[in-house]
Amino acid sequence: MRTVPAIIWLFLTTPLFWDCNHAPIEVIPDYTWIDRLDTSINTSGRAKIRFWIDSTGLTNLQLESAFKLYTPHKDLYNALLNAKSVYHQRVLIDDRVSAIPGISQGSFVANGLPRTMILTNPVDSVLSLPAAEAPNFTDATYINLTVGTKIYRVIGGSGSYPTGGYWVDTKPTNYAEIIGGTAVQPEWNGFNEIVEFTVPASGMKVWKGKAAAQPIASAPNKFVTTYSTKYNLSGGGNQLFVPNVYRDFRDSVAYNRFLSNITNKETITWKKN
Amino acid sequence: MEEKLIKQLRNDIYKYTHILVNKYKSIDALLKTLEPNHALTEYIQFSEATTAYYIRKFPAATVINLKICKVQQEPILGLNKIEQAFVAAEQGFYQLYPDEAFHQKITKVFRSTDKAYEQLTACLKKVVNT
Repeated sequence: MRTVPAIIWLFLTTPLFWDCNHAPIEVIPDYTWIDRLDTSINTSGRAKIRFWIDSTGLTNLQLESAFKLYTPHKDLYNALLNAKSVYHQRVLIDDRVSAIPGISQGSFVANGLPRTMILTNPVDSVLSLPAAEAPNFTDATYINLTVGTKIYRVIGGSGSYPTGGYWVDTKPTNYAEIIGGTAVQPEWNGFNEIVEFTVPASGMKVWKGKAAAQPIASAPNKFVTTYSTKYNLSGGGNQLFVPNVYRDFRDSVAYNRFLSNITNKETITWKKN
Repeated sequence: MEEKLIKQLRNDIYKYTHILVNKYKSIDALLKTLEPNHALTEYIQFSEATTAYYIRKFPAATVINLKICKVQQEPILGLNKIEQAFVAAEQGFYQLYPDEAFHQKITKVFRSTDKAYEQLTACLKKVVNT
């Protein structure tokens, strides 16, 4: 039997390559692909991509693979730059999405109401549940919230307003309740703040029901078709829809009245894994 | 399901999908006449990417997978996200409208989608029941 020369033996057993449990030491990520991105991304953009890997925690290989799907590359860069949160970024590049709180394994199966306006009884068209919103519920009941009732809404990122339509009647305590329970796609919300609204003396008529399941991403996402066969947001949590008439930004009286009943805003400090 | 019905349903889904796509595109065209801000740009990008997706996904009636349409309520749910996105985002750009008539014009197009959605819903019901 041939013996291994001492110098090779020393090389193979050195802790530089193996730790004491004989596990390979982490390989330094290869960032050279960033240099090969097309010219639509400038130097500071490339530095930003490196930052997302080193500091935000996006996976190097997933980012590299995702960029290959885009021409020009700045389309993905801009999407990542404008992403509402790191969860949105991860959904954009298919990076450990199953570990995002609230995302369930299993193909998406629609269980919402048909896209038809649901009328109040007696009929009051301004309080009806709009057809476009009906599929977000598996059931919806028209109820009156009494004075002093507190409702909550999670907001964050551009296009997410404290005067939006969707609320919950229990203060959320974690991301899974929001993303999974009320089926909020990471591209819709940055999950930065919890807004509290206290129902005024006049009361407020709203629609209450269970959130319908949703796909984890919508059509512009490159992975949307694959995602719909692998993951879903199960919904099932209670949600409220506040009719537009109470919060209409075209009606300054109603809008300001609504704002004046926002009784607290709290920054969400839960760690995003 | 019998072949004739399958063909009819595929044709109808294709037809109403493209009717909806064209209506949303006409809203985008109206909005593009405005001086954009970030909220408007973001909405138009979403709407355009969504309509482009359905044009790619349903290039012909023959490629429509009725089973997937049934289970995922497609294309209803995906296209409906355009109006939902509009409603959620409009607060950020309505101040760009030249007048109330502009708003009414957009609202009218959105409401004109309801009929096509009713037709699509009826198609998918037939898939479910067959």
